[in-house]
Amino acid sequence: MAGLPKTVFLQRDTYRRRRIGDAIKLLPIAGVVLFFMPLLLGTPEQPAQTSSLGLFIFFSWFALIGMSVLLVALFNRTPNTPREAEKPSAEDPLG
Amino acid sequence: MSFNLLILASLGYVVLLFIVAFVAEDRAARGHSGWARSPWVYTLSLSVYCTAWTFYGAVGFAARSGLEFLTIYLGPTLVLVGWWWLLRKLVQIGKAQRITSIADLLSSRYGKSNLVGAIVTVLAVIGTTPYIALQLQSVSLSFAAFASNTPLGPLDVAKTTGIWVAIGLALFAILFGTRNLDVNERHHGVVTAIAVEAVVKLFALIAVGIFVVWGVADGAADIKNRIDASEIAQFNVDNPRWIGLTFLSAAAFICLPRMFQVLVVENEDENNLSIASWAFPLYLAAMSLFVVPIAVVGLELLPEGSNPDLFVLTIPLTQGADGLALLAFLGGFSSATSMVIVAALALATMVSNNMVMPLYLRAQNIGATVSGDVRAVVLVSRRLSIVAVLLLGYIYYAVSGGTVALSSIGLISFVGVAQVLPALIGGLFWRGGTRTGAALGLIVGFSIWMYTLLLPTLFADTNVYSSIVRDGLFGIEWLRPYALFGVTRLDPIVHSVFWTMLLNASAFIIASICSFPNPVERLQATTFVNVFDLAEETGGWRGAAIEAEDLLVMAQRIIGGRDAQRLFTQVARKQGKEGYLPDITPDFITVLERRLAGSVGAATAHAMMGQITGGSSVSVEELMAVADETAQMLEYSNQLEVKSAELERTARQLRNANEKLTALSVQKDAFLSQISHELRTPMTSIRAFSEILREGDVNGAERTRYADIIHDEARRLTRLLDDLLDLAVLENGQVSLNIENARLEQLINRAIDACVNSGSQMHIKRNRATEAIMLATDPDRLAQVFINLITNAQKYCDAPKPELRIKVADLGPSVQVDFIDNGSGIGVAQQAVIFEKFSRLTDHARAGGAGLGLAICREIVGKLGGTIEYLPGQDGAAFRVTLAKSLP
Repeated sequence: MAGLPKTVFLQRDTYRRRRIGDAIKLLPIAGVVLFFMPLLLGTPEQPAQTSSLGLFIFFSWFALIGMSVLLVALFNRTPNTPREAEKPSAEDPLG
Repeated sequence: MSFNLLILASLGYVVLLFIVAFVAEDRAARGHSGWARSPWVYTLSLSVYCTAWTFYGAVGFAARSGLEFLTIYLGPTLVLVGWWWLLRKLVQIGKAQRITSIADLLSSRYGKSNLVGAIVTVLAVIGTTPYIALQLQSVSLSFAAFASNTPLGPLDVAKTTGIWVAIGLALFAILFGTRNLDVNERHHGVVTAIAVEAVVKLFALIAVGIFVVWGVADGAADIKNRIDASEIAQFNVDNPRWIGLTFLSAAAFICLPRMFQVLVVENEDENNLSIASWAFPLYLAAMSLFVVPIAVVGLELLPEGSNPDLFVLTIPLTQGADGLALLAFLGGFSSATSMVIVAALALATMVSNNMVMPLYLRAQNIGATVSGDVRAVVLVSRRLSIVAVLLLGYIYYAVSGGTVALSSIGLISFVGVAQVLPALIGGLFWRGGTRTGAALGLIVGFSIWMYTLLLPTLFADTNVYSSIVRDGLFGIEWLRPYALFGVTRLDPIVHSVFWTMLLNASAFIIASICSFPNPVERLQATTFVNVFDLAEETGGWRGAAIEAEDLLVMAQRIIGGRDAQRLFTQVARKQGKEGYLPDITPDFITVLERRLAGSVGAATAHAMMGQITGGSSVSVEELMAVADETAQMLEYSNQLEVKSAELERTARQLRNANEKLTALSVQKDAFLSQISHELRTPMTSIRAFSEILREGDVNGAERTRYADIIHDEARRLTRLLDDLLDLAVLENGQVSLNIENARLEQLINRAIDACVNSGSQMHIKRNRATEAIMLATDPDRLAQVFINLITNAQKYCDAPKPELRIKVADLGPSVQVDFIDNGSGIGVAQQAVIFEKFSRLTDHARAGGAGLGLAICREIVGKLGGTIEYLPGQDGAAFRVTLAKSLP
């Protein structure tokens, strides 16, 4: 951070907001694990069934979407602290 | 179903789209862009990802290889769900820098470089043209599917449809994409129309899906049985292919010019992204939900050899559901048209901003200040670019003539545009990425893609290339396009992804590390990488002697008179000025350049500003000068700091000295009264007794006694005066020392001998073995010091059994002699002043001296090149004399 010194202790809300941000960051990793899971199933003699794997993938998909809905809603609901809100937008100063 | 009805329906649909776009554009122009800016429209506009290739092709893909088609949707899902990592930053940068296209993004990041922008543009055109051809083909094919009962043959229908569709799309794109030169490069009409199309295609696909599951089959359970019984019942997926395609679709989702257009350029609000992060994956999931059922039912229902790519259309047709077939047709039509419109728009922006405008400016060497509206040039070049792009797509389609190669072109195109990925990611997260690295990485990736994927597919039938595919270039086996360096385990697409990404990223990284970026590059790198931290960009322009009027003239030509004047007035008012012409500050120039960049791209805007400002953008020299200044200021402030520390130290010393002086002055006052008393007492008795003697009537014994008293008092006075004189001499440096070699032991003996006769009870402890040290010193003076210390101990030691320890320590070049008694010692407050003149501990009666002893000692030891100090913490008063063994 260029000008602003980093603070050690944050407001409770800011802290919460950042942790929700962390959780959002983890979603794609969970997605990778879930979506690549089918590769680990079945044996060469008896490959996994398209129908059941399809259900699994769609289930994971909707679970991921659900988590995302939840986290984004939580994130947008947690109030922003003045300091972060005050940060001037990087767009032109006339905005 | 009548073919005319089909044409009527599609024409009606097109008219509807035109109306929607027109209304949205109109509302936006009047400032009512409320719902056009909503997250839902944004999310739906992202559906340009789902082209006809996915609308029709997904079913074909599923019919051929089962669930593998899902990878095309899973990649984008991961990117969107992980928006916090990449998209958030991308959108932020897009807004901050007013990015107009992905080529503009890379050009801006790598020092507003035309070279990088042009490479990306070429790459995008080559990668997208076949894709546009694919859309034209799919529309034509779907027309043809209905046209079996027309007088024209299906093939003729296909050919004529292709050209008309291309013309219609060009018209739409020109009308709503280049209507004006928007400073934000946002097209509300286009975006809204695309959102409508998104709804149509989703609705169409789900309708066909429901028809298949509950109309043709007997519900979900039946569909499951049919899947289990079909030829795609087993999950036979090649692991690298599954991973590779997921990665590829994720990369393409970010890098495709049309995706970048809707994702970043058309984004109005960062919050829209957070909603789209789950809403668009939901859209994708809904789009793919019925793909496998449709594929399975199609495989069952339709005769062997029918094109699985058209199942969405042919199943309702064969089942007699004409209305549904029409809907499906419109869905496919929507997919194709929305993709082509956005792609043409994005490509046209890139071509005009990164290739045409720089060339035009170079050709018009006379400078940007001459009159004439550049806006017209930009608009014309965009319109021509749209026509050119679509024409290119049509030519490609017409020449390739719907060969099999076309159906695989989707993934091939993905690999092509994914070549932008290393430079993009590197540019966003790594400040070290340079223009050289980006250009080299792009060129390397692009060449390998051409060699391993595009050319083998296009020219598979020619003799030359089939021999290259078989034997490698020049017959070198490890150069075979599908098995580069002997890698044979990967299928062609994943093989190409693997090698292009590996070598592209390596070239980018290595060249970046080896090259050195110019100042603008470094500035942009910092702005991009730290976009969330930097509140405001550090000025890229130095306010040289530019006239505000020149800038206004130029700005009017690019963003239009009204907008330019409003911008200038706003800035002027902010600066506290009236009128249209603000002061030229670096901030203002940066803002203006960004505004211009929103219309003509970063590199062009930079170049135009460069012409006006006389090329006074940051040069290396200027940056160095700034850096020098900074360094100097830093050094100066360091010096100041040092000086202030020094001053503080001096002040502290002065304060200490002052305290000491005050204490001394108090002492001196006390002493003066003391010494007058000391002098007066003997003088009084001398005068009294001498008067008695003068009277004469005293007997002999008394006279002797009185004379003794007078003598004693006179001696006391003399001693006092001697001491004072001694000290004065010592202090003035007039003393002469008789340096001889002397044994320390003898000196101490002498001192003790001189003191014992005073009848003191003090016991003296010493260790003679340690005292056998030869010193070059003045023996008399040193003995005087020792005597003084010993008598002090005798006088002041208040222990019942007084005891004095004399400890000698040989320190090599010097000697330490400690005198430690077992009394109560000296208080901390007095330790500081005992060596001062006239200082004396409280009990005057016992002192018998004037308090000059220790002062004299200090002077003597100092003259002998040593020190004397009080040694605290010794259970009694303790003095340490340190002497050099030989004088310097």
